[in-house]
Order: sequence, then structure tokens, then C-alpha cells
Amino acid sequence: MKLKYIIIGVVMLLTAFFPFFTPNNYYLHLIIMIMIYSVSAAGLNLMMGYLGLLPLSVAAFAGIGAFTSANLMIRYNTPFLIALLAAVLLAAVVAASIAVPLLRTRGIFYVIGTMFFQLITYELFLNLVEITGGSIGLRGVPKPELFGYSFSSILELYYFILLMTVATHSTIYLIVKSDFGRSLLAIKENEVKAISLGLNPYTHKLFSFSISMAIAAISGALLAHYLSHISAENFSLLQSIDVFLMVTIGGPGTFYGPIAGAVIWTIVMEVLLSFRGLRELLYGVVLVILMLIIPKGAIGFPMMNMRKMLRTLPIRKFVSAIFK
Amino acid sequence: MEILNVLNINKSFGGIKAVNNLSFAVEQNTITGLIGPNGAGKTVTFDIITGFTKPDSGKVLFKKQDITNKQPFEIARMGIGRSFQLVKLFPQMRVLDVLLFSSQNKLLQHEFRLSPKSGRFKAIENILTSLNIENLRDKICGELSYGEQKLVEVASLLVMQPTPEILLFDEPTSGLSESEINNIINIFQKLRERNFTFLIIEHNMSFIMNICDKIIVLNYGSKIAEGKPQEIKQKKEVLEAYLGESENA
Amino acid sequence: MLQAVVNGVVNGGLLALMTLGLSLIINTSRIPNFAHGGFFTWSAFITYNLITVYQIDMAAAVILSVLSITAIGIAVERTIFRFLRGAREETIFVAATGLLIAFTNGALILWGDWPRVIPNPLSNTVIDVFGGVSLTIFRLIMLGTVAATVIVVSIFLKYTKMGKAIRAVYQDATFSRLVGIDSDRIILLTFAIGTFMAGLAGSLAGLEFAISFDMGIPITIKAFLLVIIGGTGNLLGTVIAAIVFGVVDSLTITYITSIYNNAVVFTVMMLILLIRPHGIFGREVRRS
Repeated sequence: MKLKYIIIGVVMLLTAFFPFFTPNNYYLHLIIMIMIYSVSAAGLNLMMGYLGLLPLSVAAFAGIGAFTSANLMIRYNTPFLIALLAAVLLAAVVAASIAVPLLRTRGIFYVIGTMFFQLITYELFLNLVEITGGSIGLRGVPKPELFGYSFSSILELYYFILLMTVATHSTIYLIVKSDFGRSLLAIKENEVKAISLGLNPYTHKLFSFSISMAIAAISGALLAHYLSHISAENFSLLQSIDVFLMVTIGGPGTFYGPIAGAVIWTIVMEVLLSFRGLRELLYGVVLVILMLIIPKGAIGFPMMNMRKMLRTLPIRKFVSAIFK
Repeated sequence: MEILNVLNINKSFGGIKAVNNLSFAVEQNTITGLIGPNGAGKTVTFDIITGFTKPDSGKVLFKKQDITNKQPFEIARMGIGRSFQLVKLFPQMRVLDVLLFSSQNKLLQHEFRLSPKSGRFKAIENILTSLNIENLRDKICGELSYGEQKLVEVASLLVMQPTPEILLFDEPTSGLSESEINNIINIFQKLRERNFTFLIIEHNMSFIMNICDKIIVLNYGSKIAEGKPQEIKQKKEVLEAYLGESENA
Repeated sequence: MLQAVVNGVVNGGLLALMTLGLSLIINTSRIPNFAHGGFFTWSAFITYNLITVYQIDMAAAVILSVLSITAIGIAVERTIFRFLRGAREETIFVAATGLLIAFTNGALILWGDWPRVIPNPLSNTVIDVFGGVSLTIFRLIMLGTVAATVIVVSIFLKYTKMGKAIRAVYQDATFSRLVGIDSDRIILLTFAIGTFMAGLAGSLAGLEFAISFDMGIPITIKAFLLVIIGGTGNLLGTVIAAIVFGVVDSLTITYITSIYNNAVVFTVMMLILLIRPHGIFGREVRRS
């Protein structure tokens, strides 16, 4: 137990003082991207790890958050915090509305339904040129500002996003450790039993979906104001799969899992950024491999830690069976 | 007072009539048994009472209130607790977490940080002690023996908030050893003293005869007998219904 | 307008092949094979390669492509999907999605992202069929091939021993197992047939229309949804549904808008999906 806290403390210190040690800005950029992705990964984890459902709509809601916040600041000079709040609320409302019909779906239908929403939203992002800039995208998204102070240099952005990330993760922590988080787990483990103990599954599924997608919206808004140039391409099905991979690799159902997954996968993404096609090919392959080696292919149940996993029999069985 | 009334319930699945014009009442603070051969419609009746299945016709009244069309979680919140034929717990959760979940008043309560000194914790500790399973507190449900799981299931019903007034048990002794069964008998008797009402499905005849105030007998979805254990033992129809059925211990 | 309808029928025919194959796979092999379009795409590219690089004649190229795609399909089933049996639906679906992505981007790497066209003399000659409607000869051939395939498959399913076994599993997998039907072979066979049809559709499509690395994605989505919405119905119904869909799609593009076309299609399908949330493997499951 204690070791965990020491590690966390060290990581936090490192992150806080990181800018002082790095030779160039690129690494700051990398860490910023990791932080932003970790937020949406943590949000998705609420659904995947705690509730046991797999929505593929994370990027769509990130986009909603991004374009809403960006447009409010560009067109109406809304202060950042208010724009952010509006973006989050809008995302939550939209999420709640599609959550209602989705309530009746199970398993794969849920996945497909959310995937459809993602695809539809992507098409809308591409075509509503007024709001999103179409395929070219939106340029000149203002940097975030608080009470008149604008975070414009990369160093300032780094600390601002660090602050927002820590704040969001802390909120998620509270949610997860509360009765609500426990109820979600109960639904995942045995929904019938949970209902027989008085739990209303509909409200819980509705809330957790709305919260989860609202968190995605936060990460989208952060991305928008950091990059200053966003387009539909930032919020497609591929990004939803990115976040899914982060949660799966890091370990769904744990609090720190998504963060670890974000670190790993963001680095992988950045490394492969220059190889178009190869990067996506890797996605496909990684997806398949992951599904094969997760114990009994159970999404949403914590993967064994890396060491144990590498020693797992299924891989040996698999390899020997192919080469039989 | 009659705390539970089942009135003219009918339920068919496909072409099969699972429950046929069933009516009975359960008196408060009693232990009522529901017996019958396999397939007689006992579990379906439980499902109907607790709202997991809607009857084709008929009504269920709880404390004179019509609960026939209510959602199962609503019914649970009104004070009806039930167990399941195959123990249902949460495989990866700790026993303590299960009880914390169960002890949350789902309608009124939502706590962020539970301190170990809080009332909920104390209530859980009391229940664990009275059932003699404090040692299981931090164990994961999936690692418990079948008998231990059944006890945790009982505990989960007892810590419900609001406290259930009637407990429906579906084959509580199945899969248990003799000492475990005696333990259950003790527990049920102690609970009856504390004003709980019981409706129990069982195949274990000695258990039923021992503990029940009244027995209802089902066969092919219909009630074929109702009365005190001694009366039921003599009834011809009951013996006939069980002929060909191997006695279950 | 009739022209649009007829074009729709042609597209619908291709979609019907895909949907039929996918329906067999999903309902009989029980694999939510979202990678179906990957086979479609690769078959088209392989045909392209055979004809342009190796100068193989058209009919032979089609046959070779379809056979090799079927072989790839069998390999995929034997390695990947066989190991996933018993896993949750979502897991298999995600793996299939990964496969689709892998196929798509493999094509991207191998052939780049500019559309290819296979020189096809039969695509250039246009015939007036009736009332102002014209079709290229090849499209007529396509229609004929689709019809022939559907008929052959129907006969196979109805009259051969294997076919009847497949139909039995299609209707009720549990019962079939009790009756002793070897499910492993059936799964392999249906996957092979389904992939065969995807390969045929892809090869034909490649000969008439432009080929691009992502051509498999929209058709996978549409076929997938048609199968799900169709439920476990009769196969002929699936074919008709696909053709109707093709016609509606074509009319929408021509008369309403071609920009929001995808969004509209997806929205409609999502709505239908949400109104009919049964499991693929299912009739409604009784609760508790």
C-alpha cells in the first residue's frame, strides 16, 4: 500500500518539475498530450472498468466539447471557464439524450450504437463548416485564460493543463470511491442482484454515461485551446479506439490504469505519427492481439499486471497451436 | 396482518402455463414454506412477487399496496428482500464492499467518503458478528466457499436500507452441509424473533417441517394444498405429487 | 429517376452478396465479423494486381482473387476467431474491428491512397436497356452473377446435406449440437462461404468501380446493420432488403443530397437499431 503512494508522489513531483529538466519543448508537448488523453481515458474507464459497457463515442464528445468551447471563445469572447462549463454541460445533455435509447441495448448492440453516434458526429463535424471549419478545421482557437491572464507560452500551458488534469482526476477519484462508484461495480458484477438490492440501473447507466462523456468533452476542450487548430480529424472513430486502447492496456477498473495506458499509448502514437498507414495498421494488430490475450477476452475486467500476463499460458498455447 | 397477498396470479411462457390462478397470503412475522416438485412454478412466483417477471393477470399486494407493476428495484426498496436459487453475489468485490453497497439507502443516501466510524459501518459489523462471519469481511466473494457465500447473501439482505420486512429465500439450504443447515435454522429462528417475515422455497423436507408455521404446496403451477406442516404431511395430493420425485436432502 | 433506381439495384446487388455472406457468418458461425469489408477490399486489389501487373484475363483473375480471399478467410477463422470462441460478443467484435483496420491500412500501405481503376472493356460499352435506362455490359454481368450466386447458394442450403446442417445451426444452434451436428466444421464452412461472397462482391466491384483502400468500410457498416436489423430471418428476405436499401441510397444521393448522405444513412440505421435492441443471437431473452 505504502509503495503505491510513494510512486504516485514521485511521479507527481517529476511531472511538476519536468519542464526544468528537459532539453527542448517537444517533451513538454508530449507530456501535455499524455495528460489530455489521460483525462478522456479516465472518463472512459468509468464506463468500461466500472460499469462494464463499451462506448466508442469518446472522440465524438471530445469534439463536441472542443468545438463548443472554441466557438464560444472565438465568436462571443466568452471567458474560458464559462466556455468550458458550457461545453461540458452541452456534452452531458447530448450524452443523456442518447443514453436513454441506448439503455435498452445490450453488449454488442451498445457498442455498435455508440459507434454509430461517433460516425454520425464525425460526418457532422466534416460538414457543418460554419462551426467546425470542415475538413480544414478551426484555426485561431484562443489560448485558455483565467481572470484575464492568458496561458500562451508552452510552459504556461503545461502547468495550466497539469492543473486541470489533476483537478479532473481528483474529481473522478471522488466519484469512483463513493457509493456511486460502488454501485457501478455492482451493476457490472451482477446486475440482477444489484437490482434486487434496490438499485435503479437506469439512472446509474444514464449518469455514468453522461459524466463519462462530459469528461471526454473536457479533454476535447483542453486539446482545442492547446493546439489552437482543430478539425474533425482529431475526433474520429480512430481516436475513440485510441482511448479504448489506453484503458485496455493500462487496466480497466483501476484508478491509475488509464493513466498508465495513456502514457504508454501516447508515446507509441507519437513515435508512429510519421508513418501514415503503419500507425493505423498497428492499431488493428494491437486490437486483435489484445482481445486474444485478455483473460477470457473479457473487456472491462482488469487485465493481470504485465508481468503475470506475459507468463500466461494462453499465449504459449496460441503459438504452439498455430505452428502445430 | 397479512403482509403479502398473492391474488389469482397467472403466467405462461410460450405454450407452458407456469403459474395457474395462484392465490395465497403470508402473515406478518411468520415463516411460510413454498414447496412442490421441480418445475412447479415456485421460482416464477418469486420472480412475480419481486417484480422480475410480470404476471399475465392477477395482483400482488404488499402491506395492502398493489406492487404488481412496479419495477424490481422499487419493490426491493419497499422492504422485500430475496435470495436466488444459485447464490448471486459479486465475484470480484470484497464482502465489505458488497455490504456497503447493500446498506446504502438507494433513494436517500449517497456518501462520498465513508469513515469507518459511521453508522453504516457499525451496522455492517453487527450483522457480520451476529452471523459469525467477521472473518470474511475482507475476502473477495469469488474466493468464498458455497456455504460462506450463502451466509454473505443473507447478510446482504439484512443490511438493506430500509430494512426489509419480508425475506424471500429460494432454496436456502441447497448445497449446504448438515452443520451449515443447522446454522441457517438458528439464524432464521433468531430473525423471526426480530420481527422478520419469511417465505421460503425449499426441497429439504425436514428443514421445512422443522421451521415453518405454514406450508403452501404447488404442482404444475397450481396450489394443491395449504396448511400447517403436520396437516400437509398427511395430505394425499402432496404425496402423489412427490411420487417419482427423488427426495432431496 | 428510373436510372437512379436501376443503379441502386446494381449497388444493392453487391450489397446483397455482402449481406448474405455476413448473415451466414453472424447467424451461423456466431461471429460478429466486422472485418467482412476487409475481404471485400483486398479481393478488389488482388484482382487489380492480377490484371494490371500480371495481365491475367478477367475471368481467371476473378476466380483466383475469390479463391485466395476465401483461403485468407479460412486462415483468419482458424487462427483468430477460433481462439475467441466463448469470449464476450464485444471482445470478438473489437477484434474484428481491429482486423478491418489492419486490412484497410495494409491496403493503404501496399497500394497507397489514390484510387485505382481496373481497365475493363466491358465497362465502357453501354447498352440501352429500356425506357431511358442504360447500363454497362459489365453491370449486367454483375447482376447476373449476383442472381446466379444467390440461386446456387439457396439450392446448396436447401438440398445438400451440408446445407441443411448449416440451416439447422442457423435456426437453432443448441438443438443442432444435441442432434450431433459438428459445429466446428459448420462454423468453418459458413465462414468460408461468407468470405467467398465478400470476395466475389469485391472483385466485381473492383472491375466496375474505382478501388480505394477504404472502400470496405461503408459497405461493412451497411451490411452489418442489414443483418442485425433483419434478424434471423430467411435469407431471401435479406437479399431483398439489401436491394431495397441500395435503391433508397441511390435515390437519396441523386435527389436529396450527397453531402450528408452518410450522416443520414447512419442516423437512420442507428434509429432502427435502437428501436430493435435484440441480441444478434436472439429472440428476446426472458429476464431472471
